[in-house]
Amino acid sequence: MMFSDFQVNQIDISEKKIREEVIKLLQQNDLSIDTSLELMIGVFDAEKLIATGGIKANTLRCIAVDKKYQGGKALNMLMSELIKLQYRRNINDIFLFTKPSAKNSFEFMGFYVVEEIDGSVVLMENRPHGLKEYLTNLSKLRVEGNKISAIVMNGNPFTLGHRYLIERAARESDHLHVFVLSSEESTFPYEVRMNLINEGTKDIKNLTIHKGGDYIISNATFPSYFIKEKSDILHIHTMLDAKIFGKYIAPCLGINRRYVGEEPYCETTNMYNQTLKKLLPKYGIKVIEISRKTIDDVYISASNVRSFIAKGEIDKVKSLVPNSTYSFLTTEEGQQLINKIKTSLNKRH
Amino acid sequence: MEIIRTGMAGTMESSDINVVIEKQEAKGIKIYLNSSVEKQFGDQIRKVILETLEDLKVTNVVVRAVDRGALDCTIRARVQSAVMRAANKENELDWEVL
Repeated sequence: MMFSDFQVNQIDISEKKIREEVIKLLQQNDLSIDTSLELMIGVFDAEKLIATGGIKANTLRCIAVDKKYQGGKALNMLMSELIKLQYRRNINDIFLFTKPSAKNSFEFMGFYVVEEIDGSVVLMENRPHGLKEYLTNLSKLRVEGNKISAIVMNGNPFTLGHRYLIERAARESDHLHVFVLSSEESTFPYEVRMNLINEGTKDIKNLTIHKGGDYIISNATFPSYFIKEKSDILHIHTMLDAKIFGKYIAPCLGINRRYVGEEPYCETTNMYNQTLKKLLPKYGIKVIEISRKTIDDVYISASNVRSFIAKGEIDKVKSLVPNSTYSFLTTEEGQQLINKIKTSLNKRH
Repeated sequence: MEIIRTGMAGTMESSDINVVIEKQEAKGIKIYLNSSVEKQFGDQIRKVILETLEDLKVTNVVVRAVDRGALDCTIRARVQSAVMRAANKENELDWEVL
């Protein structure tokens, strides 16, 4: 850059030598490495790595500056490059999660606080009123009533279990808002998941289906490289997600009930549900946990569906999903996904 | 000048300014400025941004700027670049107008 003796370069994290330098620099700043980064860059003083930062989807991550170079131009160069890279990728709404002690540095770099959990995490974005703008649009979909409910789901893919939960919540409510997680962390792409939920619930009238967007924070996209105690991650994630939902999203739509499906399989999701039950009532939201639907004494779950698909037992899927989901699986696009699932490992979620 | 997409120019390095320009539905020009010399030159920076946009006949936009003590000529150049990129006219600069 202009008159600068520092260099900004992309880093190949799979290379052992530079990887060790990155890890050392992160450790110096009480951070660990995020294994899901899409790309990483470094600022170098001659051969020495003095600052590093990474990108995943629309977030900036693992940003660290060598203690001896803090307060200088290293951070400016690093952030300028990260923002430029995002701009080239056509990503203009940039987010970052960080520890509260780093808040001021990022504010100086043109980031604004969305919400904070004291002592644990701050969510920041590069738009001064990003959340407010989102809520202004969301409020256009408000429906008045006494019982306004919400469900957040991934639908990977949409099963009769999801259908049962939506049906029940819609029946017990004046209106139901369903938020579909929109990050691409799942076997089924967002577009497909969204379409199958739309198709499978066409007959339900008091229902609005929303894109989850950037302010419904899924466990899969919540970064944890800045949290020291790994056992705290889930709790901190849930607190942030519940706070944003309870403080902003729910009042915007008048939501006073949140439905969750009972989770007998996945301990993470179960703990998330239990924590929501404790946190959301503070915002005037009742959490209603619904027992999972069974067929022949077997719980229906999307992970079961995926594991049948992975084993090639597509006939067993038929009784667990709505017709719309099943017929999607028989299309060419569905077949391609089935092949992808078969070749990849059987992950839950 | 019609703004089609988000345009960005400049860096956050010393003596530079990072400018992002986006269309907004509301009428007018809204400027969000974060500057290391806000107290001394905040109003002057806003004035230069506004004048540059007026010269380019740009209306109904949001400008987000992170300034690190840029001179007026730098501010003008960065705003012009960001506008050209936002208008998809990066390679059609009319130097006489500028």
